[in-house]
Amino acid sequence: MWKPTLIGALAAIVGKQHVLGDPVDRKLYGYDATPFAPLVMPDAVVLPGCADEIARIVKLANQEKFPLVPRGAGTNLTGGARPIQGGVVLSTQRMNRIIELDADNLQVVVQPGVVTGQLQAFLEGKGLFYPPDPQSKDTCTIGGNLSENAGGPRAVKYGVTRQYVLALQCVLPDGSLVRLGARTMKSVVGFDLVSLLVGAEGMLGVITEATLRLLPLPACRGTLLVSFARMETAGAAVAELFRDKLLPAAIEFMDRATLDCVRLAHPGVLPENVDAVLVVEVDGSREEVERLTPRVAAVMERLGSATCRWTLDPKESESLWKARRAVSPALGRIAPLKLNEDIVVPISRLPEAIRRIHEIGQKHRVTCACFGHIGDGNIHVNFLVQPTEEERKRAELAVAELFELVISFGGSMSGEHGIGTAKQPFIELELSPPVLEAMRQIKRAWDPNDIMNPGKVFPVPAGDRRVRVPGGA
Amino acid sequence: MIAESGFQGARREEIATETREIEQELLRCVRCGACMGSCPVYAQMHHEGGVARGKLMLIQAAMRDGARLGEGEKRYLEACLLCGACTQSCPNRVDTPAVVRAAREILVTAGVSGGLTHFALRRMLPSPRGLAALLKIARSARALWARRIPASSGLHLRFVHDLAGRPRWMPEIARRFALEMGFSTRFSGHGVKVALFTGCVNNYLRPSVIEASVRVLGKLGAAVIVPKDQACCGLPSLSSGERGAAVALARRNLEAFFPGDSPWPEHIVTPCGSCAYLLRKHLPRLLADDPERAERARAFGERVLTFSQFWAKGSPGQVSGQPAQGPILTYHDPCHLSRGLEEMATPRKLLNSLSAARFLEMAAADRCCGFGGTFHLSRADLSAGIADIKMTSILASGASGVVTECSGCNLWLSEQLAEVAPGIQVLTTVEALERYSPGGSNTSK
Repeated sequence: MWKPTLIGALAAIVGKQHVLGDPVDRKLYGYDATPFAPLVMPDAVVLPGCADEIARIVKLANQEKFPLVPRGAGTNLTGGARPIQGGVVLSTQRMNRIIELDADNLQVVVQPGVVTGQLQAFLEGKGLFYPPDPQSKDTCTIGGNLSENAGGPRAVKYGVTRQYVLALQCVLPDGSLVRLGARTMKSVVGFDLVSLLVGAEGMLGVITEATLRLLPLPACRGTLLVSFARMETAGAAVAELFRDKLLPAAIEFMDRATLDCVRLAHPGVLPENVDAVLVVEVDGSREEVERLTPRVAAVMERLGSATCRWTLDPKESESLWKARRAVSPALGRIAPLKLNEDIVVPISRLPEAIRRIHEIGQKHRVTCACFGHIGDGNIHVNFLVQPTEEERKRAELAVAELFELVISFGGSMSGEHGIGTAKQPFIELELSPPVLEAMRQIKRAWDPNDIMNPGKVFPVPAGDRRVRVPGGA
Repeated sequence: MIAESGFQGARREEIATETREIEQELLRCVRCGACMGSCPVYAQMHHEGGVARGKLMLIQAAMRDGARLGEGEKRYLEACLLCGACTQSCPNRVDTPAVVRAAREILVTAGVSGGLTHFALRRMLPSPRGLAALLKIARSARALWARRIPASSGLHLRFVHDLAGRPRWMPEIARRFALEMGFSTRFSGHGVKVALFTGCVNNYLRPSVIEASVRVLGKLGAAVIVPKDQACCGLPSLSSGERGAAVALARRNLEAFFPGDSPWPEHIVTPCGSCAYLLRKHLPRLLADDPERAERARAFGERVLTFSQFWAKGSPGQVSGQPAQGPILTYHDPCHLSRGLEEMATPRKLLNSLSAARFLEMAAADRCCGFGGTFHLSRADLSAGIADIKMTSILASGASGVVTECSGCNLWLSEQLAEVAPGIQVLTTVEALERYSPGGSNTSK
C-alpha cells in the first residue's frame, strides 16, 4: 500500500526534484483527455529520466504494492493514463530524446516521451517517413502511441503503429529491464511479445525505448475534395476505388451533420445540399501521383459525385484539407462536450451504419455528427453534449446502443482509442468469455501483484461506479 | 453546479463579471491537450502545470471545491506568457489568457500575490511622475554600478537590481524622457489629427523611437500631438491581476487623450503593438461600468492604431517588388499584436514596401520571444529558454536586422541578441521605414 514515506524512496531513485507530492501537482496528473472522467489525484507523480530508474520504480511498486500508472502526454480519450485508485503516475515527459537515426537500415530509436509530430518533422527533414498520424500528433508521445496502438487517417495504406515497431526495450511488471524483438526487418524467435506490449494500455509493462521502422518519404501528394448528394454513393465510391485497385493514403469523410456544423463556422467553404464530403489523399512518386490522382477523380465522377476538385499543389491541398481540419473546432461551437467514439465497421456496410447511428441519436435526443476515416471503416461518432447531467445520461445510453449496433454489423467498438476505463462496461459485447479469461491469465502471470495500471480494460463488477461517474472535475 | 460555487477569499462582487466569463471558458476546456503542442512554456517545463489545460483544471477544481487559490496554484499561474498560442491551437478556442488574467486578479484580491513587483504595479505605474523620478535615481545608481564591472568583461551590459532583488540587465535609461521633450500638445495645421501614445519603454528608454514617430507621422501628413499627461497603458498591471491599477491608468489616459476642453484626436497611434492591444481591446472594457467615461472609452478604443496600421491607411495597396540590394530584415510577430489584435499582415506590408531593404520571413515568426511583460522577471529561467529558440530562428534567417512592433519584444530581443549576435540590429517599424525608405513619405496621399 502507499504510504507517505515512499516519496523519499522514489526521490532516492529519480532525485527529489522529479517526484511531485504536493496536492496541486498531484491534481495536475489526475486526468487525461477522457470526456466526463472525474479528477482522481494520484498519491505521487514521478518523472524518471532513464530506463534503469523506471526498473527500480517498478521493483519498489512490487515491494510496496502500490499501483503505477504510466503516462505520456495524457491525451488518452478512454482513461488509460488516469490514476483511478491513487498510486503513482509515472510520466515519461522527461524521456524525450531521439536516440539514434539509422537511415541505412531505415530505423530510428527513440525514448517514449518523444512527441510523435516532432519525430515526424525531424524525419521528414531527412527524407524519411514514420506514417502513423493520430489526430493528437502535435502533442501525444510515442510511448502512448505504442501502448494504445494508435492509428490515424493514413492507416488505409500504411496501417497503424504496430506495423512500425521492430524492437522494444521495456520494464516488465516484475521490474526486469528487457529487450524484445530485434533491430531487423524480420525476427520470429519465440512468441511475439513486441505485439503483446503494443496496445497493452500500460498493463503489461513500461516501454522505455522503441526501435521504429521507417519508409522513404513520398515525394508527392495529390488531394481531392469530393462531395456526394447521398451518403450511400460516397460509401460505394470508396469500395469502387478498391475494386479499381486504387489505394489512397487516406480517405476521410464528413456526414451531413458534420458538414452543417462546419458550414456554420466557415460559410462558403463547402458545397451546399450534399450528404457527404470525402477528402482523399494519394501519395507516392510524382509520376505515380500525377497518374493516379486523375484516376481517383474519374472513379468519383463515374459514381456520381456532386463536385470533385483535385490538386497536386501543396498550398491548394492545404486549403482542401481545411474543411476536414475545421471539424473539431466547429463541433466545439455547437457543444463544448462530446462523447467521441471510434467504432469500426466493414466498409461495405458503412452507409447503412451511419443511417442507423443517426436514428440512435434521434431516439435519445442527442446531436450526433459522424466523420473520420471512411477508408478503413473507422468512424468517429460524436455525440455532442451540453454540460448538463440529464443530457450526459442520454448520451451515455446512446453510446451503449451504438456499441450493440457495431457488434451486430461485425465491427469493432474501438479502432484507435482503446478501452481504458471508458469502455470497460462494454468489452464483453465484443470479446467472448474464454478470450477475456486468456487475457486475464496473461495479466495475472506477468503481474501477480497487479501493480501495472490496475483496474483498466477488464470489465468491473456491476455497480462499480468508477466508470463514467457523473460530475467530472 | 459550478456556477453556484466560487472562490473563498475573493470579493466576489468585484470580480463577478470576470468570474462568470471565465466559468464559461473553463467549461469549454475538454483537456484534450492540443495546447501542449503550441505552448512555449510547456516546451520548457514538460510539466502539466506549464500548459493551459493544467492551469484551467487547477482553477476549475478550486472553484468547484469553493477553495482558495494558493501558493501552489500561483506557481503555475505565474508560468504563463499570455501569448495566446494555446487558444490558437485549441479546438474549442478557449481564451486561456483571459482566464489566467482573471485568476491572477483573484490571487491579488485574496492577498496571495503581492511583494515588490505588485507594489510597483499598484503604486508606481499609475503615478508617472513618481516613476520618472525613480528611474532617474536608478540611472545614477546604475552608472555607479557600471563602473564596478571591468570594461574588459565583454559584458557591456550593465546590471541593476530588479524589484525582486536579483541582478538584471537594464538598458540605458534615457537622459531625457520623450514626454519631457516638449512635443506639441495642441493640434495645429490641417492634417489628420493624430495623438501619439508613447508607451513606457519608448518614453523612458527609447525616446528616439518617439522622435522618429513624430517626424514620420508628420511626413505622412498628420498633425501630431504627444499628450503630456499620458501614462502607462496598463497592460503590465492587468496581466498581473492588478485590475484596480489598470483602471486608474485607463482613466488617466482617457483624460489625457480625450480632454473635455480641446478637440479629440481622430487617431491614437502608438509604435507599440502591446500598448495598442491594451488600449483598443481592454481600455473600453476597463471603463465600461463607469457611466461618465464608458462612451468616451469606447471611442478611444476604436481610434487606436499601431504605427504600421496608420501608415497603411495612406499607402498604395500594391507593393512594387522588393529591391535587389540592401540589408535583409526579418519580422518578429508580437503576441499581443498577432494574436491579440489579429494583425500580422500590415507590418509585413510595410517591410515589403521598403526601397532600401529586403524582407525575409524567419521560421516560426509568431512564436513568443519569452518576454511576457513581468513574466521575464518572475520566471527568468523559462524566459531565457524560450528566447533561445527565437534567437535560433533569427540567426537561421540570415537577416541583419529584426523588426518588431512591440516595445517589450524590442527590448527583450535587443538584450538577447546583444549576447549572441551583437551585429544584428533590432528596429521598430517606424525606424525601419525612416531608415530604409528615404522616400517613404511619398507613399502618403
